[in-house]
Amino acid sequence: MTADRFAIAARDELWAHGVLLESRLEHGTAVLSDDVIEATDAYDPDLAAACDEEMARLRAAVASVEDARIRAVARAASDGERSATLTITMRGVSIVTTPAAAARDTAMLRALVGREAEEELCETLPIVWRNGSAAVLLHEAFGHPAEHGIPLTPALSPRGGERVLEERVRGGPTWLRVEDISPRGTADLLAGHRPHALRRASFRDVPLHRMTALVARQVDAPFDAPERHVEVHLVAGGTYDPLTDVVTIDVSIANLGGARLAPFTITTTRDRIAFLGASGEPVRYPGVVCSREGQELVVGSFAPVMITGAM
Amino acid sequence: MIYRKRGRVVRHENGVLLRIAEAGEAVERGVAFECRPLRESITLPEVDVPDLIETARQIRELPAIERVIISDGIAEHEYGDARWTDETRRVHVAIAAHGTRAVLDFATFDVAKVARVAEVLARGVREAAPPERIRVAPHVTAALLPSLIGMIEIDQAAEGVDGNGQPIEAVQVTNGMQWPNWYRPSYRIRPLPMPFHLRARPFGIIDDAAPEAIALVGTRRVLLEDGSVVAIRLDRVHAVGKPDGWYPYGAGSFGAELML
Repeated sequence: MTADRFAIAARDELWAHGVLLESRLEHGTAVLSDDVIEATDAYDPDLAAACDEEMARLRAAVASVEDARIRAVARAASDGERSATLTITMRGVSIVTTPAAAARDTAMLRALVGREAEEELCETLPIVWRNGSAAVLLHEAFGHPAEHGIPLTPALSPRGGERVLEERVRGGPTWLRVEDISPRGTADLLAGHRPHALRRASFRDVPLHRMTALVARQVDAPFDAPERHVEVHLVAGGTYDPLTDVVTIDVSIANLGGARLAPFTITTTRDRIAFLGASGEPVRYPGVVCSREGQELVVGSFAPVMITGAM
Repeated sequence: MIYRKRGRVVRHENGVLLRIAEAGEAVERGVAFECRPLRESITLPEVDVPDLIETARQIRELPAIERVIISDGIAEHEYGDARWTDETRRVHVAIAAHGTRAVLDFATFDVAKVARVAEVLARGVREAAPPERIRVAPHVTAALLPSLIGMIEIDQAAEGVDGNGQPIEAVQVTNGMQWPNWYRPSYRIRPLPMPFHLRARPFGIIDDAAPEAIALVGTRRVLLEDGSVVAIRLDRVHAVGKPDGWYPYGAGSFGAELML
């Protein structure tokens, strides 16, 4: 019999316009032996101290932000995790960021939400995913299927010849790499490889193979954006249903031409996603808190500017 | 006032068994809600697991089972001078086949109802036009009751105490009313006003010959006993049967047969 011990301390605070609304502390230990987990709310002073340090960084990073709703989550765990995450919401639009990037991301969010929607999206158009937002699409279209061990559905662009054969095996265009990077190793999500890390939201949860940081890269990708296209800057969320193979993306900030669009939802099956091109280095997308089996975890998200066909 | 909860729960989650013991407290100071573990040992008796494990085993052997979460727990609560204890059993099952997913929730270790849905789904489903009358099974009605407030007469049944230890009084539930009781599913969650133990008042005649809806498979979509998937409308309820079982939707709903 082998035993595996996991301990964690976490603090979670919710602030609205400078006022503390909610404050939660939790700590506990889980000991896994075969298929049984014994979990108690045991206290580990070192983890609690590390967690308090992270929370102090979080509070300092947003001390001057009074025009937002802010959720600050600090975690310290026995597997080495030290995390400090801020979810900042203005006018119903959220980003997820770190203390180091909070000032820059908050300024970006303030600028994006400062403009009212001018148009509804009334047609399906090609999409240019800016600001790293393609990482959310890739998270849903390739990351979750890989977590579930679901066979790949090829997304093909451009179509034809040997490239198609390779894409059928890999589940994506040849110029695209999508990997999950964690301390346990790197998994090729386009090849359907399951993320290596076993992650859990708390000591009372079952650890699952979950993404840690999705990083998409392009190598010599084409980049020829159609003249009429939607530009996506921020998404509110996404889902993947393994039963129907349907990907849903809720877009919160997007433009069409010079006009700001009202929020809209993309619903498509994976085989209808056409990756048309990409440009540049991966950009950190500010915001993926991923929920699966009731467990919310932050997943790092990085992608270049990407173009997809109409969905 | 401070709310404190001490509890043990055993949860079977997709093949893994968790035994959890914890205690915590929550307090509201003005607009702020705070909670933390109590850092004390739990003296409650251990939860018996054989029933739970056997229920999980039987459900996992059924066809098309996508997710199984079964729990059994005991908890002591205190809020000011009020003290109370409760025991809870929960079964959450998702059954998925042929592009259709049924989600079932029970407060008893009831395998028979799960088995019936699993067998119908596994045989195959087809979209169909809704029949003239549908007899909705009690466990399906329980999930629909919150959506039926204002359409049929629904009461909050007087039973037990709420999350602040106050008695849950009988009251007719109407849209827009101020819920008199507070729901506290965990010490880590800020209590919310919510209707408890929803119960539809019986009326009309249940037609036992009408096709039975045995599971919800989407928004306003049900699975019938013959494998048909049909849309339903909630604005034409022709009859409600007698209360038949309590189900863990929100702060609780009683099932009853329903004629649509």
